[in-house]
Amino acid sequence: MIRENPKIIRRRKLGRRSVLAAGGGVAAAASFGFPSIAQSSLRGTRLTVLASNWFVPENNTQLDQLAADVSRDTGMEVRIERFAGDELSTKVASVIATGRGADIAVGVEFDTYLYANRLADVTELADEIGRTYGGWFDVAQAACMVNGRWRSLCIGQAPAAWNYRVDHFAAAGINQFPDTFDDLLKAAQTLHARGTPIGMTLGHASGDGRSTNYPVLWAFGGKEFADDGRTVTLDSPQTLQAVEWYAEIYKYFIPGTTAWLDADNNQAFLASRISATVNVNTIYLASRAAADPARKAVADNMNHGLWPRGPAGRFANYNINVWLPFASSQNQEGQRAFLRAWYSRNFLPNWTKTGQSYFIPTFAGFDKEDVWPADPKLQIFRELNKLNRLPGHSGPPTPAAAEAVSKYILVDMFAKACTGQMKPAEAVKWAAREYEQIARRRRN
Amino acid sequence: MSADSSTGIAIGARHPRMERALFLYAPLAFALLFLVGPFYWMLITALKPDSDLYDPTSSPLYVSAPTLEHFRYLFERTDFVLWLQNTMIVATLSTTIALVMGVPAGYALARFRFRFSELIGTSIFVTYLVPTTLLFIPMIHVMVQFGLDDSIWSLVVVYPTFLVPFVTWLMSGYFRTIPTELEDCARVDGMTRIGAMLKIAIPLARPGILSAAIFSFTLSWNEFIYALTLVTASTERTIPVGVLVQLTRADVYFWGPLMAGALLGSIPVAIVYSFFVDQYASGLTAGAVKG
Repeated sequence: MIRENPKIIRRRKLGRRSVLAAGGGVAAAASFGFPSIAQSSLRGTRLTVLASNWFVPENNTQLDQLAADVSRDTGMEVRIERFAGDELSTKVASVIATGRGADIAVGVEFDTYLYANRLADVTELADEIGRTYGGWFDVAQAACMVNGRWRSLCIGQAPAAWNYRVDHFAAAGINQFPDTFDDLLKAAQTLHARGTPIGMTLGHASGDGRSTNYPVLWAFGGKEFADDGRTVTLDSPQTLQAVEWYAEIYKYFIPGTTAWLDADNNQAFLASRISATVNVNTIYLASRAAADPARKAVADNMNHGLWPRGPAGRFANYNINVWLPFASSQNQEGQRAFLRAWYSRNFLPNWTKTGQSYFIPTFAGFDKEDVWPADPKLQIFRELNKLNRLPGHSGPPTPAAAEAVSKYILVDMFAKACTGQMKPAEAVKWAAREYEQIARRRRN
Repeated sequence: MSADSSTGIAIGARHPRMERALFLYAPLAFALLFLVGPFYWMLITALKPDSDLYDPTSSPLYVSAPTLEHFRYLFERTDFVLWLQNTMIVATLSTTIALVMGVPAGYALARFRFRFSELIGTSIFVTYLVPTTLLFIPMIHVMVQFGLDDSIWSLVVVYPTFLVPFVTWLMSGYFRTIPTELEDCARVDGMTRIGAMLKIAIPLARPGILSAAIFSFTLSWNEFIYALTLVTASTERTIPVGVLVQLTRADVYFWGPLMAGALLGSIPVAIVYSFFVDQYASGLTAGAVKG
């Protein structure tokens, strides 16, 4: 079991008042949950929702059904339009810039504070929903609140774990996934010698680039910023140690990881070309569902492991999805009706369970809900759900941290050292200079 | 040939086959590999069953058990036919608009001498070079004002903004290669300036117009940023956007249907090229040796 980080999942203390409030929340949930919505004021209005194409197809179908139900119950036409991940970000940026094209969209964690003044204030709704499900994780508040107000609502996070081939590890004499970075390095050496190397994404992958590399920095004690979120602290002995470890383990990777995008480690693992990588559970779910026996065998022979523990502890970084309610929308009442339906007890727990822990809502109370998959190979994601840190940790998420992510500075720092383009110390100094420039520009 | 046997010419004179192999067929083979390679890769991937796509022992260069399952998936489980229809409408109409506006503009720049004509010609071409990533937000505002946002008709209006400068630039160069004396003779015989343009210059410029049309059609067919940002409705999407959205789920790409879509999407353009390839080549090179 993972020890929960109290800073990350600080729960609301349960007292008499909060119990009463929670009771009220449940009552409120019953009232705002569809299909009891009967808001005649919405009749004849229209709501366009931009969504991503979630990995589990049934999750997309459920959203379509929710839209149909809300349309039926309110008389408001709810239209779901889907875009692929990176294209959705472009579409969101265009809606923010022009005020046209959609009323609500699925965004990522940084969108909230990048676009805060263009997003509607949904604080009251967030409080209602939080009470219904036992309180939001701190990571949700960090991703959705700006200056004390909720500007978005957290949909969930996609926990990334180590995906590894149990059969390859066993053949190399390793019976469980390494628990320290030293052990992971030794395992990589052994696996490489046996012709079954591992691979960690070092390319400009919008998802895996972060989830693979930030945890290494944090585990060795490196940090991008101090707790104030403004002072750059990247150039430190701890960061150097992380980069040196990475440069060493890179020697035992499968070739080509510096060019990997989000799909490439999936493909390499599914093709049995690597024996371990960092990913969400899409590799497992895809191979488990495959008709082809060879791909199905990958699911039978794999499992998921936690990030190793480093000198500073065990960390992880996941993609977060949020609902962005655009302030430019002419139908803000419709936005709230849709969001209430999404977070209703009739919908959200079922949607979560159907998703097989691919996306997990960030509620403390969900630990006790019947939303977890029975498959033992997916059990670990319940624990991983509690580990997430946002870029900029241990400071607050800031536009500077977001810009560094979008420029892949941390990923490039590791990659430059791994490929020999720079010595580890030079790579750290290069990255620190880049961070300084961003921080200076954001301060001015 | 002289005794200077160290030169290639001397070798060629004595070994013409070797010369052809070295200086003709080898570069041609390399060019063919470079140009046809991506299409071959698309075809092979589209025909491979999933089991082969993920089998590291399977050769990436040939398919042992070809299947049409990815094409079936494309037609039965995506809106590919609708995207194809939208793309065809947008590309055809925007190309037509670009030609109707760009050909006369090119003629004017080639034939008339007026103040700042050179500057205007250069400026028109420079506008073609402004990246769409800078323009798409203002363009959305303009389309909203026109009431055309979220519709393929916005693309029909927007695409000519980069096609017209291109066609104008290409055609002005082409018209300069046509001797003005031909039109002068016609005018001496009583034809008007517009008549001379329509009946003399434009028929002679047909290879250039075809080149401009093919290029415009291809640019419209492949355009991505405007198609993504101006259109939201899934029923109004074009192939480049539609294929990407419906054939990727999170970090999993459906390579077979994706390659099938890319292959089928490139066929109409290939057909257009193949019909007009001779005139296209002469249209492109006509202005090369004359200002």
